[in-house]
Amino acid sequence: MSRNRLTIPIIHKLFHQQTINPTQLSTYCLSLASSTNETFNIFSCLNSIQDIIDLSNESHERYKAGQPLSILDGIPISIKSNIATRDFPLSASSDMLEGTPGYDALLVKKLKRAGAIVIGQTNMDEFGMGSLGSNCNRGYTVNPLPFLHDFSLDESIRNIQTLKIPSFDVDREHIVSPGGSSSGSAASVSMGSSFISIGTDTGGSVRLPSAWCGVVGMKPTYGSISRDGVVSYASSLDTVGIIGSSVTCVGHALDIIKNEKKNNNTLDLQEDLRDSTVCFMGEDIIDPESTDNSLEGLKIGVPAAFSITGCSKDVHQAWDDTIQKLEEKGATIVIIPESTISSETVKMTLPAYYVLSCAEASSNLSRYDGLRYGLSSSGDLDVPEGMAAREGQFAIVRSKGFGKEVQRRILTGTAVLSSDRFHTHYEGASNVRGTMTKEFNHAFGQGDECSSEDVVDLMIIPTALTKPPKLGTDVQIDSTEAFQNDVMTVPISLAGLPSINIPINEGDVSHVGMQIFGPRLSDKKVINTARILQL
Amino acid sequence: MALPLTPRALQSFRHVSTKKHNILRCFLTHQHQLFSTTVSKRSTNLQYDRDNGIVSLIEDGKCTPIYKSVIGIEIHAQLAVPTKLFSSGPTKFHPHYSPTSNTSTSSHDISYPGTLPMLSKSSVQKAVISAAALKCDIQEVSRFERKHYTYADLPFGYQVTQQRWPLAKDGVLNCRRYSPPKPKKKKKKKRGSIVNSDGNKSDESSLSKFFTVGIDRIQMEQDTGKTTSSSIDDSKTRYLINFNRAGSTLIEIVFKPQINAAHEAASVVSTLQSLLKFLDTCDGKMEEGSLRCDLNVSIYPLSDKGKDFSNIKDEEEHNPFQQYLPEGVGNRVEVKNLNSIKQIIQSAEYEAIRQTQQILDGAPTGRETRTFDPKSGHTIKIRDKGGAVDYRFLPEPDLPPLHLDKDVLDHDSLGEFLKVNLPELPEDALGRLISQYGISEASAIIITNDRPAIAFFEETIQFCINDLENSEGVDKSKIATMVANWLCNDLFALIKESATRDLQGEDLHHPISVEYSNVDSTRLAKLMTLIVQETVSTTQAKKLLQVMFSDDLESLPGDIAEKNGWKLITNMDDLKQLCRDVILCEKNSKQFDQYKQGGKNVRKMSKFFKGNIMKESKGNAHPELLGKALDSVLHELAPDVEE
Repeated sequence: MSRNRLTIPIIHKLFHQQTINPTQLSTYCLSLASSTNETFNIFSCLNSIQDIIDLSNESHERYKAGQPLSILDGIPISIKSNIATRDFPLSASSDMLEGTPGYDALLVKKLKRAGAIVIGQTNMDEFGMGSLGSNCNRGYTVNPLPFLHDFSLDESIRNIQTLKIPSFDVDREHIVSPGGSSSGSAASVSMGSSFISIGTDTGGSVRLPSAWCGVVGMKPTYGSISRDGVVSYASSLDTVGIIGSSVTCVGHALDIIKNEKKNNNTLDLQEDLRDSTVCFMGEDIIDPESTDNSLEGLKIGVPAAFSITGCSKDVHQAWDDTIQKLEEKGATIVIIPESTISSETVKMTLPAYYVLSCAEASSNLSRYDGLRYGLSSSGDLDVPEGMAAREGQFAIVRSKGFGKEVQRRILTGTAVLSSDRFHTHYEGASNVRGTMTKEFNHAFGQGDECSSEDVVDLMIIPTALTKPPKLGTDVQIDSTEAFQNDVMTVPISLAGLPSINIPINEGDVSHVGMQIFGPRLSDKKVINTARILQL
Repeated sequence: MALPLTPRALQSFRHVSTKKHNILRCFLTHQHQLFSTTVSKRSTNLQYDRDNGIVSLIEDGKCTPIYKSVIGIEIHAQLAVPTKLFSSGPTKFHPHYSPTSNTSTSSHDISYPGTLPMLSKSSVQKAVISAAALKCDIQEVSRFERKHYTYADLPFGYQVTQQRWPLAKDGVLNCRRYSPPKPKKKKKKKRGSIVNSDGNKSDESSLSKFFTVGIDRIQMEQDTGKTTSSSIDDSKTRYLINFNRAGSTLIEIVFKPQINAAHEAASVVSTLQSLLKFLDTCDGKMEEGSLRCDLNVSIYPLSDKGKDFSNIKDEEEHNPFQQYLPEGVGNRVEVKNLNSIKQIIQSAEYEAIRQTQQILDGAPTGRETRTFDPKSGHTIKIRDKGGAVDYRFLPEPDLPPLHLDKDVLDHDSLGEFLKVNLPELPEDALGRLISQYGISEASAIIITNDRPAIAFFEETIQFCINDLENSEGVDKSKIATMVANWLCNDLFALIKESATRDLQGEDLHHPISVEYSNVDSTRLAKLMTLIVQETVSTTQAKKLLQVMFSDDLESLPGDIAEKNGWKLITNMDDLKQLCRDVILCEKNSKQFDQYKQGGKNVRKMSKFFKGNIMKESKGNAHPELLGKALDSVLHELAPDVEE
């Protein structure tokens, strides 16, 4: 890594050595977050300084007693605004949810029990719909990567000890998109105001912003983290993801929030997890005893079908470099032929993804009618002509509460679910999803007829085709063109596979990331490989 | 997970209307104004036969059958489970249920963002038991889907249901033909008349008539909230929503259109109602909305005369029930939300006549949805099917397919689950009780209508036989009939009295079931034994039962009899002594002298003495034996008296 980011194991050690203490660190992070928020627009809400000091003092006491709750004890973290926390209203960056009280999602409870300190709630594309961080009710988030200082580890520690908040020189020329929809989460970790941020990834919403903000972002296997407390966008794709300053940081957080198997009755387990679509990884991700630093014996596939013409030169170069590095670490590289994973299928996944995600979104968002929570629908309203009072009331609230992109996707979803389009569109898209999943499974040797020679353990592809586009009030965004950013991430989402983005160095500011992904529930292998690659 | 609601939200939840009646009506008045022009007047020259479904034309004193109705039924039954289908929110079957509006809801029930559905195991189990009792083909795998429509009391904007992959398919229901309840007699009920658990008299003449109707499917789905409205002024209406019911488990039972008459429809619903009550899967209370009924009514021509009228059919997408429908059948009209047996009969009749009249008028009915107005007895059009809603079905992505495995059923297989949980069905029990015990069908119906009564009945007989094991010379063959009579007449009467005490036509304190009897099978058996052994008389036994039910809920009947001195005197010597005491008593010397005059006086004075002796014995003297003893004593004391 070119940047000397503080990582959780380092901080944990510094806390133990009492070089810095949790109170100093969280005060520093909160100050950094609040002083930069006007410029970068990363957070929608921040916790109060008094609450943060109280919580971190408790953590400090635990370290003094030599009994921290976990490796995350005293670590400042942030939460995407579509995940419920008791600390903040639940907004999903939408006016629609105005004033909706939050509660602790199961994963937030687990993080708090582990001693992590929630400093704030991060901005996002409304309901997770967007790839640029620009569909947010509080305006767009600025990618901090171009403006970061290259502090040494000692300088960073000194800044924390002395509460010296760096200032950032932001010139409009260099304002680029952080990627979305977990835009604030990736930006926060990139800037250093939190060390873990919990996001959600439906079609790439954790991986894309991680790539563009130069941080690690993991979308685990679909269902491995309970969606309890997560505002639904597209239920069959929505996955809680983790953004962190290193692969190990992400692994530690995943160990804390992943679903745990406690007994044998799966229904009871789901009751605890408050989610019926859960799965279990089994063993822990991070093995503190492990000294493994070789990829010997690992077969990593490079699917030719993903070598898409839209892929920029820089990205291609980074792909080649990473493949070479993997080989140096001992991995065997296998080119996956068109016959196993076809470019035709890959190309079809993008429209299929938009059909399926819009269909589910139109359904999941139909509950927002202004009656029970969120934007008010009371008082005298001018009901549009030709509408019954009730319907008119809903129409007014929904037109006012939802942003343009959300409205577009609801309408698209409504259209594809209508009885005359269901078979052609929805079922067509489901078939593409099935084919893509089958082709991946085949390559990973999970299908029926595959010879062990062709089978790979993991695959590597770029996270995004291009570098982030410029953002600003004067920049026009074509929403259909913006969909293109997701072409490398949605095939993996449709198949529900675990995938991690790792930033690739290319001079000072890279904005380029690579994805390592594997079959369902291979999260440990994915993380371990990414960790060794980053050594 | 209780969530604080914003004050504004709470305000809009506040429930103002406290009137306890059908909320549907409020929408009706509104819709009535919109559509009232299309409601045709009921014709005077058409007649509907509720028993066979035939509409006849009355012309010049002649009655010509022209059309016949075809009826399909859909039932929504709320399952009697304590929590909602997909959340831990309490239902009215939960001990902590609060009837105050919008207080018995979990955050999921009001679709609070971030909450997900968790399928209720007990809902699935009760749905499976219901489906098995209806002899359905239960699907090892079924799926949930979302059915989208917009309504204020539908919190998610969709209802989770099982449209394409239902829980169960292809069942049957055997129905006893409906007999309308007879008007209540003002006279007090005669002793010995048979009272069934609903308080209606069974009509013995129709008991043997049965018919069978097929069930197409049974699916599980979510219930909605309830909307009430009140008008603020002439132009504005305020709608208030209560989400307490939202998310409760419903099973939808879709019957094949295999019946023709209003009374058959009534039979199907009442049979289903008592079956579900018997299974304890639904309380069957139509008036509370626990069981709701939609009818699909259409008519088809019977005679050539009928065929002259064009019964034009709207174009309809494939009707899955086409195979069951006769040729020339007209458009199907759905009448929604009927909440009593009476409404079912009335609306079926109204529709059959209305649809016939429409054809006679040259304007056959279209495919439409109507609702029933109990005030006028008419159905009122709500909407055309032409403007049907596109429900945009979507496979429910938050719920995996439902596999009926050990996790859900707590048993290794469906068969094993049913073996343990499916009771003997009432119709099977009925046949068995009649053939095994030789009791009357009327009694057997009463017993099998109340599931715990079956075991109660059989236990009582068993205890009784055990008690009499060593007694000789008693007639055991009549025990079952005796137990049946005492249970159905006397004990049920006492249970009903306690259930309705101090209530004037209001709800019952408790259901009329032996579960609420203060006399258990052991004590009833002891009482029966006392009668068989002639320890007490029937009259004394009735007094005893009353005491056992109301005053002394613990003691055995023998002890109570002893305490009260109720003991039949059967010993001839004792009886004779009793006779002597009374006859020779000084104050009766006048009467004895009169007796000795003979003639008419013999009978007159014998009667007098018998009454007084009975009184002297505190009613304990065995009546028949007393007669014999008296004759013998009188003969002994005044041998020469002649009649």
